[in-house]
Amino acid sequence: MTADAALRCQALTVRYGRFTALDGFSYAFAPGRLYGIIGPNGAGKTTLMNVLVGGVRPSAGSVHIRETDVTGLRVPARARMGLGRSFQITRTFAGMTVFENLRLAAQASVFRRQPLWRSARTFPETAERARAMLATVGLEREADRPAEQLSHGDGRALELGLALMADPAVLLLDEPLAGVGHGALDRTTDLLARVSAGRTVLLIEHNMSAVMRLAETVLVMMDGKLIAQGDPAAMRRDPRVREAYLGSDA
Amino acid sequence: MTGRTRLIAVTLLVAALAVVLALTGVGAERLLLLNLVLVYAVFAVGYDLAFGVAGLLSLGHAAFFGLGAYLLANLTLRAHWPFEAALLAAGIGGGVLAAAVGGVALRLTGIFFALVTLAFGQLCFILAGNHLRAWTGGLDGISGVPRPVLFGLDFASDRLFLLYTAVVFAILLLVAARLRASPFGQVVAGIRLNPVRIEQLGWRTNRFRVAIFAVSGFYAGIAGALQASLLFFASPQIIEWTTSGDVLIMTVLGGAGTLFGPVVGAAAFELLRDELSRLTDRWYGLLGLVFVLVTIFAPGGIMGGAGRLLRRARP
Ligand SMILES: Nc1ncnc2c1ncn2[C@@H]1O[C@H](COP(=O)(O)OP(=O)(O)OP(=O)(O)O)[C@@H](O)[C@H]1O
Ligand SMILES: [Mg+2]
Repeated sequence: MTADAALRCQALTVRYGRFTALDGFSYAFAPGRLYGIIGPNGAGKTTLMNVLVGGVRPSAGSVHIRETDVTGLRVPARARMGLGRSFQITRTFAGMTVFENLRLAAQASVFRRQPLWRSARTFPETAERARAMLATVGLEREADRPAEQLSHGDGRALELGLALMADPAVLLLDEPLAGVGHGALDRTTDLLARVSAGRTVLLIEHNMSAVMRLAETVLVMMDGKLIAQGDPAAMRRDPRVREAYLGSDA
Repeated sequence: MTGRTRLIAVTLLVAALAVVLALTGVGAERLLLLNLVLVYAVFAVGYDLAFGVAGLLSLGHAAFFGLGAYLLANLTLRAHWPFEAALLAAGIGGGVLAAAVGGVALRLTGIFFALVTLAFGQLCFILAGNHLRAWTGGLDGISGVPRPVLFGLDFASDRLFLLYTAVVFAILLLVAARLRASPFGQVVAGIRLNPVRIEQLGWRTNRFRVAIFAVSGFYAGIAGALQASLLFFASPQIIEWTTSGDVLIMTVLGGAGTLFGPVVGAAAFELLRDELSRLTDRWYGLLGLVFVLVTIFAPGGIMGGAGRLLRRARP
């Protein structure tokens, strides 16, 4: 079972001074499944993601992508191995339009084949893929708008589009529904279900009904540790999970 | 008009203007000024590749500029290289030095990067004046730097040299435009706007930063060489930090991050320097005041301000 994990981490620990943000976290994520990761604020969910993509060095432990040890590799190298990520705080290219944002991201997979002396506008392949992504995330009408002028919800959609552009085999999503308005919630949840097909997805989300709907396995974190895991219905009933959330906002 | 044809049109216009000015009766003094404008325009266009496109604040570009000047002087006068070969070597020398400096200093960002480049530039200034005297002529510099001779045509007069600088300027402006629009240029701009996202897309930001810094150093080397040829003189003075400050001021004055901003800035700077230095010895202070006023009241520089006026004029 662990032999063909898409992503596997072993005893991951992250310390900030004397504070332990991630405490001996181990798990093997099977290919093609969608994992919901829940836990109260400060549980270490974003920290886990940061270590998995290589943005934060663990104090101890290891990360494997398809059984290749990537613990010593940095973010770009892991990204090229098919690890994609959307951020909890929207990170788009302010000053470029929505379309230009996506076209730049589309370059990532074809960069070596693009001659230096030609304008980035003249490559039909990247333009087509950017246009297709506009349709996927529902931003066709915002295509020519500067990214920094988007509404919060549209910004989240662009954030998701940028993460998807490299067509990652493993996709880490950090609260993609945070701040998405009530009216758009169902639509965005549908979108997440659609784009998750055929990938391994780690979904951090505070919106429980979305997690219950999307996740095949739910991991519960608290104080940097994995305290429970199982199918969504079982996790909802689990007394440890209720205890973890007692007094928190979720 | 597409962006491309407009670019070519404007570039040809600038080059043609220089040619007309060179061939018609412009006073000798103005010819020197026009030459300086084009030389510094090359410098500023290259500087903005690092500053405006990649967001790298360098205070050490004087070193690359100075290296270009000394390389041209030594290679033509001592090694008897043809002018064009020496000019190319000056550019490559500037680029290699910038890559070396960038390779070390670009581990740092923001003000720390700026301070390291400043320290490096001043180190070069001191080296050129004292320790490398055999190669730089010490504080006296190297005089008698030649002007180019090409296809039997001697560019010795300021009038004909203006043709030469106009052609070099036009070529390098078009190359800069190409580079900015290319996939490479888009990634570099992306690094300025959001380095974390660029890394997450699989690009190593530092490689791109070093590469664009090297290209910027190439432009500085070419500009330094042209300036030495224009003034028949390579002097350690040009390696002082004020040269780095000048090119930063030109770029911001004209409009950083735009293709033509640095060109307009170089022209405005040289014209102001010319006029103000006639009026007072304190011209550098006055220029500084103009710079401060522009950064406060027109953050987009002259190009940004002109764009706003145009948009307001159009209903
Ligand atoms: N760079 C840092 N330095 C010090 N402490 C940090 C750092 N980054 C995170 N922490 C701490 O680590 C703990 C876990 O943070 P993390 O962002 O992983 O939580 P989270 O589960 O994502 O929470 P949320 O649901 O609020 O996003 C928090 O207490 C946080 O304050
Ligand atoms: Mg978080």
